[in-house]
Amino acid sequence: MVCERKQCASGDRTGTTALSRVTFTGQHCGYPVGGVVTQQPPKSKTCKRSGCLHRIKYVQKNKEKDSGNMEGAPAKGVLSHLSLLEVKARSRKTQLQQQSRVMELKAKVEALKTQREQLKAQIQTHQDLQKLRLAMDKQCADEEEENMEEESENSKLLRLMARHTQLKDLLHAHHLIGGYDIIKTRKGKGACVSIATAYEDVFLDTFNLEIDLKPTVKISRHNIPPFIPLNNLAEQNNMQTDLRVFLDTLSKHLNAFAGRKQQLKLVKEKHKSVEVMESNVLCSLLVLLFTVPREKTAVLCTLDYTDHTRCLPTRVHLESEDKQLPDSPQWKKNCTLLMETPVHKALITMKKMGSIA
Amino acid sequence: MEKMSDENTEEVKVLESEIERLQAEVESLQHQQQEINKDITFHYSQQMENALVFMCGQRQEGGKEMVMSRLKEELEELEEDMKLQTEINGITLNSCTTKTLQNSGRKLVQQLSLSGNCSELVFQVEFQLSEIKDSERSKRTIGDLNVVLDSSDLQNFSSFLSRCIFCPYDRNLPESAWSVSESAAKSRSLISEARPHLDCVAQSEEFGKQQMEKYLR
Repeated sequence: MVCERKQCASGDRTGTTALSRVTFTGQHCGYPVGGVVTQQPPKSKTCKRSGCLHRIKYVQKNKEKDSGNMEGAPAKGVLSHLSLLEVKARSRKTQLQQQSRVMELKAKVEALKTQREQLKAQIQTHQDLQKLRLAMDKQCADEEEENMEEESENSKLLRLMARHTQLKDLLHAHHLIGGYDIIKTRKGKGACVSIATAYEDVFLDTFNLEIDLKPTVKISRHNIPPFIPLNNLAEQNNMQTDLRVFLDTLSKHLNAFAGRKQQLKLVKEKHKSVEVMESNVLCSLLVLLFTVPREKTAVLCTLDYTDHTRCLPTRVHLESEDKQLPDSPQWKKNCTLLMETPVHKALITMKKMGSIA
Repeated sequence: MEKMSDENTEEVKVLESEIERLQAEVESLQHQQQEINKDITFHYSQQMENALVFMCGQRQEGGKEMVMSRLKEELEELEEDMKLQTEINGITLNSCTTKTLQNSGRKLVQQLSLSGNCSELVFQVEFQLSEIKDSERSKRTIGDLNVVLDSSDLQNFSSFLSRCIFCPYDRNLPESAWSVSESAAKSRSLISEARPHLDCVAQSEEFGKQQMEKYLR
């Protein structure tokens, strides 16, 4: 029978036998109930725990032979013994819990201390490295001699590390100031060169060349657009003997091309009132259609960039329905402007002046 | 039984407060470390990482000799690269200091100071580098260009500068050293544009040829 009282231990109705005589005991609500030594199971009793009035059933388990002994702890003794055991068990449990919690916390303290020491060491090393690097930079900038005083093993290692960061920064600087990034390949038999392009403070595309150095200097692979006369340039500039001059010329061509291309892009983006009638892949020819405000006259402007190493046109030609217009002082000025200023900037001025819409 | 439980609670309290204290310490140290890392823009190579770990007191297999010899090897490679770059660019860079002004996820702004020489012309250059990362590509721009030269013959260089800088420079500075500064953005192809001029100024085309011969040999 299951006790329906909420806090009751559900269905606890096992009895145990003890001693030589068959003993029927019961348990209910976690409390031992009436150890009754008897031959027969007692009649059903009610749980004496306050507030619980359920009947308890007694069940015999592990029936033993009756040895005939008349031993038997008095009921009260068993009860109090059991209570004592229970309390002991509980307190041991809490004690264990507390001890393990203390150990847990101690371990955490140790872990945090280790972490703290590690962080301190890392920060100290970085600070030492920075200090040494600053000193080295100053020495190199002022071109002083290094003072090779006696150093400890650790400071030797630190010096190597500082030099490492210094070289990395210097190589990066070479890259940033527009140098050719060169890497030797195949044990010195070849080289990879990167040429960066930029226009008006913005870095643009990078072009790459793979060069064979031995037996003769020649280009094996590249990603330079076909309208750049790579082979001509190689021949004219004597790539065999003067690699740097060849690269300089190539770089001029590529940078000028990138600059013109960028100008075209900006014209299309920022000057929607100006129509781009014609342009070519090399961006060496540009035909624009202007509209004069008020009169709405159309002006066709052709920009020829025959010098492919420059970002400015070599010739500006104007055509208009109004035959007088190209010779007017205002438009002669515009012509000069277009020859001397990058087109996207010139258009801003021309708009301001009211020449074009 | 009761007494032991009290002692335990006391100890637990002490330990918990110590843990709180240590956690605060660790957090402030981590913050300090982050500040330092802000200025480091390159990922350290494996050998550098090993060296750092060693310096912090952690032992590794092979010990100090291994760490040092491996780092030396890597250094030699870098010195070789440096020599190559110097020869192909015709410009010797002596020092480069970088200061990171801003380093959020997408935007990186650095202030760079370089010093070096081109043949016999000694120079110092300062500029600001901004890098903005897009989804596909990153955009790099140069600003605040500042050039300090030490030379009396600056005709060619001044014409180069006036081409790419839209502001007149101050000619009133003494001849031996003058600086040009411009707050608008500039062309960054300092080498490709400047080298012909710097070479002229230093009058050492011959020197350049010798350099290239050395390189090609």
